Amino acid sequence: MGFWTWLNRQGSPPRFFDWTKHWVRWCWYLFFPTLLFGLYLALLVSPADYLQGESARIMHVHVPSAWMSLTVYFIMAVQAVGVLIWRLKVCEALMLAAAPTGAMFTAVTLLTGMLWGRPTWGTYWVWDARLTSELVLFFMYLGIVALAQAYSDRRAGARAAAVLCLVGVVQLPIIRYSVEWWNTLHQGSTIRLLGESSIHASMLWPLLVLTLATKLYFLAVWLSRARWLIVHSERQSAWVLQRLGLAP
Amino acid sequence: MSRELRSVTTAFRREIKLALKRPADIWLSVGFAVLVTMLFGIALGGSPNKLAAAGPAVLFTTLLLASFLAVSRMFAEDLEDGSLDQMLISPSSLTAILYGKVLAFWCLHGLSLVLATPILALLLRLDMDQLPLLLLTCTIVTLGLNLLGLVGAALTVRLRAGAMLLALIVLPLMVPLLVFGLGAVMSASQGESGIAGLALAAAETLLLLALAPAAAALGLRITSE
Amino acid sequence: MTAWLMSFGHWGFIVPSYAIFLLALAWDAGRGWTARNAIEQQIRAHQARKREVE
Repeated sequence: MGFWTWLNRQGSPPRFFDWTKHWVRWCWYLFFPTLLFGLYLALLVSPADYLQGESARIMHVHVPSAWMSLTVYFIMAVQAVGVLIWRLKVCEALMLAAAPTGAMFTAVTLLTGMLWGRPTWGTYWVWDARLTSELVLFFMYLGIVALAQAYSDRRAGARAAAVLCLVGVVQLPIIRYSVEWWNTLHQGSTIRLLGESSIHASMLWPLLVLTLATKLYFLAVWLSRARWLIVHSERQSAWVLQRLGLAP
Repeated sequence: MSRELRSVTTAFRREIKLALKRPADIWLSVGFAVLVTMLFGIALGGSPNKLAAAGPAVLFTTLLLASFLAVSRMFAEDLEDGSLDQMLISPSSLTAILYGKVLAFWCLHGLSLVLATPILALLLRLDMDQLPLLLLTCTIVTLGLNLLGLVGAALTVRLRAGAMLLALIVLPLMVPLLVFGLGAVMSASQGESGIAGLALAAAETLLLLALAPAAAALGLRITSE
Repeated sequence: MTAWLMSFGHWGFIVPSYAIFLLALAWDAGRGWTARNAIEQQIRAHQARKREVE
């Protein structure tokens, strides 16, 4: 049996269902202590920023969420390639399973950004580069989900969403760049929520730990959603019934 | 290669011929743009300061919305009279056909808006010295908008959800064109050359010109599965 | 409400931020969990009906 056959077998729905079970469990086991440690560092250990005061702590949840909102979109784009070129069912599930979590992280980025802006800049909303791009990204997530659901044929819907995702991923850097460029035209310098000052080491650790926590969380939720999407789309088949203990 | 080119020109000519039988469609896009501008003009109370500040933004947003409206009906007729299915089974490359279609669409609905731009600029009391730059910018931007609309329309052709879904899909992607176009005009009005924004808008439009018809062809095949 | 939040100093904004973060994670995970249950229920119900018919 050649390498590609082996790889194809690994990516088959029943295999995927089986090996993700352990991954999901371990990601949850690792996530909770990481989260708690990160929160401890962020809220109690790290010092207050000398410019922004305590509110800089919001960065430790805002930035990981922002990073995840982008990472998830790129992950979806990678899956989209698998959907369009090889029509892999597992890729379809992985792509669609990532969208809700990506949208959630985008929303959290927006909300925490607003709550950070109020004590820092005196206003809840600014059309700065990051918040504006995140708002656009949020709609891009919604568009993909809405498009996939608008199709009565699920697999065609996934393929259409894949096309949109790939068009979006090409446009995404352009959108982010255009918004930054637009800002420099208006303000003469880029205003960033984070500020130009470099982050002190003691402020870096909570950020990194919470970033790790969000990645573990995403893996757990994503793989779990994906495997059940596959179960749902293959609910008539023998391997599903066998895994659920319903085999005749 | 020349066969592809012939597909492009055939599709182009067909679109133009069909559209000229119903010139009302073109006038509708223009009329909508003028109407929206009128509403903004009224809403801004005609105060010269507010108009000067908001004018270019209103103009570009209006162009965006007007071209979006036109795009939402891009495949409507083809779907009805069965020519969409003809396109799909035609021996010619679907991408080539779509190149012809979108270029024709732009000539009809994009350039018509560009021709209406002086009227809009007048209503918004924009600086008429900037008009040549404005027209050039709008020419490039409307082509880009129509290319993006082509992809969105192709993905949503047979869906009942229609225009609102199309808006959700396509409007976020139109942000760069909006911003680059506006940036060009606003830099120019502040005394700098608008070349940066113009170049960026042109780059984006060229990228879309290279990629959009192929993506739209893929989308059309998916909607017809 | 802003005034009330500001009465706690910056912590009036930090706590809601962290709360939103944690609640959002919990909510997303919860949605995944309910979807999983629904799918499993649906399959079991379908199989039970099939067995009744036979």
